[in-house]
Amino acid sequence: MSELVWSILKALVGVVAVILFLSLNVLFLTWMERKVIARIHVRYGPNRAGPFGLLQPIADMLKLLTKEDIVPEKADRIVFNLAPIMAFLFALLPAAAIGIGSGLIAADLPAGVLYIAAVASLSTIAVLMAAWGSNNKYSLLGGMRTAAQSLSYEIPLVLSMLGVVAIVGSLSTQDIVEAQSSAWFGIIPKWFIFYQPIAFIVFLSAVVAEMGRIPFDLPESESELVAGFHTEYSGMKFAMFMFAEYIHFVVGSALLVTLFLGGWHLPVVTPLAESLGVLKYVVQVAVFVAKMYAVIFLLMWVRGTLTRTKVNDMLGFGWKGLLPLALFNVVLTGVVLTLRGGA
Amino acid sequence: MDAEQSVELEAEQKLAEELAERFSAEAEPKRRHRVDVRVDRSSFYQLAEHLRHAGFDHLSCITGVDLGEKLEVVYHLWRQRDRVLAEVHVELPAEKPEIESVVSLWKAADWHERETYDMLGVVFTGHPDLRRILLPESFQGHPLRKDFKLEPQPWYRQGRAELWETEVRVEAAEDGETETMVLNIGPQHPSTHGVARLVTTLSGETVLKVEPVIGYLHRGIEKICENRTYPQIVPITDRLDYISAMANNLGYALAVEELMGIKVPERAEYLRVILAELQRIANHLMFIAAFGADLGAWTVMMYGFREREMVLDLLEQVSGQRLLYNYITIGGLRQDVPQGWEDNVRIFLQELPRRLKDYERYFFNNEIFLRRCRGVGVLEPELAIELGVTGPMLRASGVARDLRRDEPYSVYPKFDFEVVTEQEGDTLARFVIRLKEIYESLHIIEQALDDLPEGEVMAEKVPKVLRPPKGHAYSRIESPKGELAFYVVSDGSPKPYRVRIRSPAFCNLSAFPHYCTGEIIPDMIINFASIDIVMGEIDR
Amino acid sequence: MEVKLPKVILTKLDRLVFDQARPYTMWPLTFGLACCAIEMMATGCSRYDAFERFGMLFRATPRQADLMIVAGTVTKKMAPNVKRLYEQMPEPKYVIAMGECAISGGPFYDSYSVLNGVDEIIPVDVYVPGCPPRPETLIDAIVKLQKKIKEGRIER
Repeated sequence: MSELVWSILKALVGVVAVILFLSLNVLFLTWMERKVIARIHVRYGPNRAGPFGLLQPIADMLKLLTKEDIVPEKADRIVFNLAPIMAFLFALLPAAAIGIGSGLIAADLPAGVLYIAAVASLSTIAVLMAAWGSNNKYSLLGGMRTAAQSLSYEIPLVLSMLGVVAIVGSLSTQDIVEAQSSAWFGIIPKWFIFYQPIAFIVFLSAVVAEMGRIPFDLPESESELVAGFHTEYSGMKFAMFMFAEYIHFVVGSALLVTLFLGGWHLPVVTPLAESLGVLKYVVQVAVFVAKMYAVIFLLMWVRGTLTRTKVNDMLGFGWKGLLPLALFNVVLTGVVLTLRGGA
Repeated sequence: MDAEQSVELEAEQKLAEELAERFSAEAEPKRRHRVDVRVDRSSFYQLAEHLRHAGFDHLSCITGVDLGEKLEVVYHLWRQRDRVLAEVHVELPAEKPEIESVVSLWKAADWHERETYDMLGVVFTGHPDLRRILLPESFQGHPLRKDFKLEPQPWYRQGRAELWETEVRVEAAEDGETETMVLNIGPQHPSTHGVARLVTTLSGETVLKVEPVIGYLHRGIEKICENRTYPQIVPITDRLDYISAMANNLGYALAVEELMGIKVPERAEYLRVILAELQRIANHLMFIAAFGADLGAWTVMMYGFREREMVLDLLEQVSGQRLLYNYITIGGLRQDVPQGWEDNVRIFLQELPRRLKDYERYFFNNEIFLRRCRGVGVLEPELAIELGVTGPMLRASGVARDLRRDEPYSVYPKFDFEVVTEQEGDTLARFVIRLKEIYESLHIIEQALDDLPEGEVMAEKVPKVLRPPKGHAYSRIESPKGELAFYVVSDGSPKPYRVRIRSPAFCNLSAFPHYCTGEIIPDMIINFASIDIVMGEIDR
Repeated sequence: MEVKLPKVILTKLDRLVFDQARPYTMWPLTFGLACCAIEMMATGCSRYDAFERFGMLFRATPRQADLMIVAGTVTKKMAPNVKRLYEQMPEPKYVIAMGECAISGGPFYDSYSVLNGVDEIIPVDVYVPGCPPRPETLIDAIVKLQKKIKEGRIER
């Protein structure tokens, strides 16, 4: 009995920790994104609300919290109201299976990677609900684009993970990170980015598409579809979509770090930290977050540099470019592993 | 002198004689590039047909003038071969103003005729779709008729605004089987560059039909001009194409100067060229910026505006204004440029090419950008001429027409510059051509600065109250967006009898529905952006 | 059981917390009418950067906007659309009338198709004079509007 209580308690702590971690990161990210993009634009970015504009996300939240909540007259009320909540929840789900330190994971599922791939595509449903429920043509077009985009990039995304999984022989994210802990000569890390460069490129492209960021921000491309699927959403519901979007951003980057960049392992640093007792977790989290933000910064940089692709180019790139590449990678990995195993 | 002039006017003379003979029209050469033709309504269509087949392929403008008992319709037709512009006047009885439509001869006539119908009530028989274009269908009367008086509204009329509801005439598919969808883009939409509205019929994301709906910024400028004195109109022209105000000032000033026979001092002419070219650079930078924004590249937008600020600084130094200058005026310039201004321009000439290199690196190494623009919205040269397209858009289709060279005004003949053309006619070509034109403009400015003479900047004997003699003048300039023309009719009073503005973006936009069908939405959006429209001069 | 909070507390909360936050996140609607829109864009771009610095983020849809900058001439044909856009914006919303045209019709005051000021159809919080106003003037208007919101002087 007490074991059940204990496990429920543990799960609750995990959920709260995940939500807290994500929320803090999202709040920081909205500020960071505006600041980084502004610097690329040769501007300053927010600097009035608090020191360096750091209170900007808080102000945004407070404002959105108290905005009037408009439901268009001809909208499908149930679907319209449900969509942002679903989007928010579905965005949270994959985070549960990503650890930010050894053991620091909400749910160390044996089928972790599979679970992530499965729930990540759920958010498409929320987007489609929003698009349909709004009864707005721009929303509908945006929703349709999202569906097309998710469908075509989901497959290369999963396939590119396969190579890593095949090397590790486990679907658990913890195992995947542990497999990258060692280093050549103690300095050059044995991260999967070096074992699986093709998979890394495919994954990076696909994950950007899944996040819906430039150059793949077609679902809400401002100059074409006004604001895409959330055109009709105001106030808190819009905030939930925004939140979900940034959670995707965090989760996507975290997944990239987990799969290809060695998670919380850094040569020299993490082996040293092993002896620090509890403090080692702090070091691990710090390393993980630092890597995550490096990826995030890279993606922001991409956003500040590239233009948006066309719909047909986006689909063509997914089906004709990434998918064959990912398949080739799977085959290559298989062949190499078999040869090595056989030898 | 006499002999020289007659040689110069050879082509004009020949055309005038020919028309007088065949159509019993009164035709006389007015000046180089201009032939005035007056023809009877009965033989007008034959004359138009003849001109069309005689190589007059560019319909510049259709104007209506209310003469009291009569309504006059004026057609401006251009032949590139010998560079003659025929100005065909046809008089119609005011009680039954009907004339044959020339849409079958020049597709460009479509919107011009609709506008003339809208503003003056001239009925063009045989026009495929004669509706009001700027005003809503519910509007009573025709504003440019002389019996339509402007009455200033009382300043205090809070809450009693009269609004014009624009009916959405688009009918959805009826049978329930077709899968077309009507998407209304605008008037408030991030990529309509103001208040344009595109009623788009879609099948999935493919555009089946586009109909631009304009008039959301119609301020009645042509009517307002009839109620202002000549110098008072200069600031109004600023507000036409507000991205290149200097060019508008110049076009209008040239028209009035032609009417009055004013000779502008040489220094003013040189400065006018410099200013007009600076304005062209500013306009094209703005185009690049807006184009970037439509592509989702906000960085380009910011960079474009940053460079544009450099030009604005220069223009602000001479005029004191950032956007609308009111600087080039009838007879010259408002005042001389400040001391040291030339040096500032030279610094700018040094600086800009360096920065443009960044743009080139950014765009032409960017595969996504190239894929988005290449082969999108191809406008064939024949169709472009037919549709009255001018300016960079026409030159991007490989037609080398530039009024700075073809019908020189100011001191352009003194400078060595190239008419840049691109062969592809797609969106990428329209983008590249603007970038190249910036370099040409820089080249012209450099030459003008080198030869800049000293002296006055305002012609002598320009009276305070201008009363040009009776007559009319049609002056055309190559504005950054294309052929900008002012047709000014004077009746000898201090206020013009009629001012007609031939705006380049109006004609370029009217061509848009003819070549964008079959594209997907993102293509249509950047195709639309590549026209470089400004609603201020389209709606006037 | 229904819990009834004294109205005073809610008002105080609104004043002390939300009204202090709102001025820093007035998201304007991407919406330009005429010449002033170009100056509005210039205000948002690199040299002035007056929107992002104040936490203003251009939103293309009225549902997510708080501030409408009426930049340019409001014609009678456009006016119903302007009004509808304003109605589509969620409360609390603010309006800046930018330029002579939006204030009174400006140089087109006697035209048959121009509205003599946007305040004939929607309430305006701050008027910005100029034809067109310089970016500095618009920045001043933004600061004035921020002050107005902070002091709770927005009346509806």
